[in-house]
Amino acid sequence: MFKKITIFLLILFFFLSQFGLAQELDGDQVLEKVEASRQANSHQMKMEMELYSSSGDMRSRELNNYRLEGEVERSLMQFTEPADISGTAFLLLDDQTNNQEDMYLYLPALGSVRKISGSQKNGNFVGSDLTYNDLSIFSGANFRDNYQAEIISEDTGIIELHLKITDPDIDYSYGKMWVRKDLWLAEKIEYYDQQEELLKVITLSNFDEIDGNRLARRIEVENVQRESRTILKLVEVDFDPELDPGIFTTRYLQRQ
Amino acid sequence: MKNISPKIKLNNLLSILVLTLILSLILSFNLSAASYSGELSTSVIYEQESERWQDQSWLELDFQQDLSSDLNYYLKSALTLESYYQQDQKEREFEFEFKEAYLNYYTAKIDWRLGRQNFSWGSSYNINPLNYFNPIDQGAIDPFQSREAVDGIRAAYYPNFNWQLTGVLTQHAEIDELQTAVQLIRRRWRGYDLAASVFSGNSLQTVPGASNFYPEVNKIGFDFKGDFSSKNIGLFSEVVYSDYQDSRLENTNELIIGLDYKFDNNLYLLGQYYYQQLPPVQSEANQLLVLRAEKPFANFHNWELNLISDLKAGMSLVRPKVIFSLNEGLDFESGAVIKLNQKRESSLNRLNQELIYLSLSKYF
Repeated sequence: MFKKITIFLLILFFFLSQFGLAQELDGDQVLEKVEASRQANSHQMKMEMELYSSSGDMRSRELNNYRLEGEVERSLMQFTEPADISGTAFLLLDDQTNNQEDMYLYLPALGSVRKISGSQKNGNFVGSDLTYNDLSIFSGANFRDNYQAEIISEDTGIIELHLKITDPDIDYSYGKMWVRKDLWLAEKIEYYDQQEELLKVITLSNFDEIDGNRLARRIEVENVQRESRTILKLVEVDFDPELDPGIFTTRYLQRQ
Repeated sequence: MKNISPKIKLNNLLSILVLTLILSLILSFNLSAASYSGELSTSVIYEQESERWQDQSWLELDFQQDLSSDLNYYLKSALTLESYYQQDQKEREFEFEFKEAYLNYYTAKIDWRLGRQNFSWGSSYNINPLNYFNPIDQGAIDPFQSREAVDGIRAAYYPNFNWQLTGVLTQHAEIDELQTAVQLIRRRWRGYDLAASVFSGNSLQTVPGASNFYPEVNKIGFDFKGDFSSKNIGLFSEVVYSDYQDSRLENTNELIIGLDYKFDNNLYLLGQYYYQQLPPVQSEANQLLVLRAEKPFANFHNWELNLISDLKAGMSLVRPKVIFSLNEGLDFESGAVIKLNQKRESSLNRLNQELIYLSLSKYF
């Protein structure tokens, strides 16, 4: 009898220990789960961007974003509103195998396609509180390419991560991310500047699931130092649409 | 004040009639695949050297319509009213023109464009030796930034993403002979875009002392644009060799090399050196240094500062500019052209005049 109880307890202990191990994720594994919330290899998005200055003035932008993953990651952004930037388009080709990135800009005023230097990704994206890198992450790039994460705290609903910046092109000293365990999506991100002062607070909300891909339809970026805000709304999203690779070409840009 | 009766050019009346006819034709088609936009602007300019006030209002309309998936046309028209005030004289000019008007036709590998158009060849800032076709608009506030469209045909062949072969045939308004050129572009070669071109026609620049003489010339040009270093500093260059057919003129070289960079605080800097040999025998080469700084401020506004130095004559031109965004699509701009150490023999002096301007623009 005693022998049977012992064997039973050993088996129970074995299964409990396996269950416990499965629950212990590290920070990078949490980021991996966040990335896994989006499985699509391509997308087509219509976005609205509202820019608020410290005095409360507002400007709006509307743009279409297309993305196609592969050996060369391709991204196209076209502005449709307001009138003074309508028609402006960016094309980004990122060949990660050969570590080569090419950016092209089409300006209606010039009527031509120009290759632009990688430094154009520095600073804010079209006057918003987002950098180009912020925008590419929210539209589907991988967090693990840019950050290394460590768990700071965890409760039943939220995991708090410390983000170490591994991409030298990113100008933050570090970040923090709060991840919802029910969705494996970030609900809040904080970025700190080179003086380790809080620079930006990013709040994600209006979570949705489309074709098995989870995303936030509303992203609010607050620059606490400039007291400005940008609100990015995903108006229409289509994952894995039948995208013509020909739109990710300078020829297509020139036709605009 | 003594009024001089307004000059209304006969060709403006004809242009208006043509515009009315085209608008009638356009309205008779299905407009579902049409789009339009435009700019309404009014400026006040004080020309310091001639002590003359000018006010200028213009309406620019862009119209594009798809006739099919492979065929569309584009029109850019401008209606301009200029008034000049000098001492007790007043003069008015009214002009309508099609700045651009062309038809696009796309096949599987070739894109065709026929009509009045701009050709933006060359990767440098404003000064482009590789722009063989479009003359500078000498009447513009910034002639380096303004080019006049010309009538022509362009065919661009795209065998794949990385290669483009373009052929151009144009006719300039003041030159009877056809101008032809071919350009080959190789994109994404080790992070650089490279281009080579050949041109046969007439120089856009008249020979000093002989206006309306655009000498025959054959040109060969090279161009590259890319960036270097871990900081992704932009690097660009244009080189053009000109072989003049007139035995009185010497063959010349032109070279531009430049760098640009955008900082994390959104400050954009550009520096560019231009070397231009001149065809008249024993003429000293031009050398220009261009520096540009640009930065947004207070979220929605922008300032720019351009400095062009004529290293040969020792003269410089400064162009400060501030653009205030008053509201969505409504900009107020203020700027000036200032000559430092003015020299009559400098090309900067001939092409520019000192002025101050205020401008209000509405985009729709």
